[in-house]
Amino acid sequence: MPVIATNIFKKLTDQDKKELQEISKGFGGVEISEYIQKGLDVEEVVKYILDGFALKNIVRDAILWDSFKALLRFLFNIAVRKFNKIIEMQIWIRDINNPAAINITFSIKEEKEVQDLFVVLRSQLENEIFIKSKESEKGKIIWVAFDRETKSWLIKTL
Amino acid sequence: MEITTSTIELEKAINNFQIAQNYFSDILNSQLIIFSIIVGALIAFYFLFNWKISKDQIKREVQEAIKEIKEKIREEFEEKNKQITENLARELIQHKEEITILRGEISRQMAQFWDSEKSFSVAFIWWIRAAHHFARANDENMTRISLSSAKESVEKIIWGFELNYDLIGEYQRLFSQIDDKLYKLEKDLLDNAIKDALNRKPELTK
Repeated sequence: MPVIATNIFKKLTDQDKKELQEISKGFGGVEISEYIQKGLDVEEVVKYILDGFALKNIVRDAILWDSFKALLRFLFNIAVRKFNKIIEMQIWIRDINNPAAINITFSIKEEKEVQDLFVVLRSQLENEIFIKSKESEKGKIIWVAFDRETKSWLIKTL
Repeated sequence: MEITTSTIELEKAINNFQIAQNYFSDILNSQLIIFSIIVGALIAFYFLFNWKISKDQIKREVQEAIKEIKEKIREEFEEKNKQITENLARELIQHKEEITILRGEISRQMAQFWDSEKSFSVAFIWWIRAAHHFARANDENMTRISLSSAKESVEKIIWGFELNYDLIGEYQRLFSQIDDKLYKLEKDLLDNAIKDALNRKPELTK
């Protein structure tokens, strides 16, 4: 089952968790965990780690892709609700279902960025990773990151 | 009677002579005038010709002299301009390198500060920035030191999720701009350290 871990776990109410489960139904439900920050923890930077989501299926299925975007918008709105102001949401998506683990890291400061970033992200994942079968390279780690300065997604294989 | 006749003939001869002399004198005068006119015309023509030729020649020579001077001034100007441009470019490159090194030094100081604060994920990005600046300034020694220090910071990160997600894009861009061949060893070691950090399992509690 996919896991959603966050550093604002303690701030989540049962209602939030219930709504989160509801919106994640398309992915077979999710396990919600607390992510304990070990390094510098800036309170208004909300971190979400989305672990175990099968990205290949999500990218290739329009309904799942829309659900995934809806999930991220929901996560952003929860964070805004908790702090009652615009915050920075940092997202780490990790898919270890493939021989090469895929990591996607980015941050969102406005809800509409989910739409803007994800349009390009979907085509990048499909064209640069799945069509080229990069996810099948055993022992490799694929790291996708968004560079705010050049406003582009960068892919690095380790 | 005979004497009288002779005298008359003599007077007649004198008269004839005088007539001939006058006639000859008139012809001579006419020729002299014509000759003078021809000589005068020739002199005038010669003068005009010389004047015209001299004027054109002087004009041509002056023009050539002006052209030569202009060419000389242009060459001197170009040479000086080239020298100034080269000096300026050299100075600019030098200052640019100094500024880049200064930026590298500032990044290095920041990295050391965050390392001392045990915020290794923040220190990591500052080390990468420092390495990028030093690499641009062709300071190989400091680039290698910065890349090695970035590796040490990553090794101290408990897991990859500790990195600042907002800065990973910047790290990837800056890292890709650092020469792959020249710093291959340092870059490979850093890649391995990051890979290990990403492979480490995070602590998630229910």
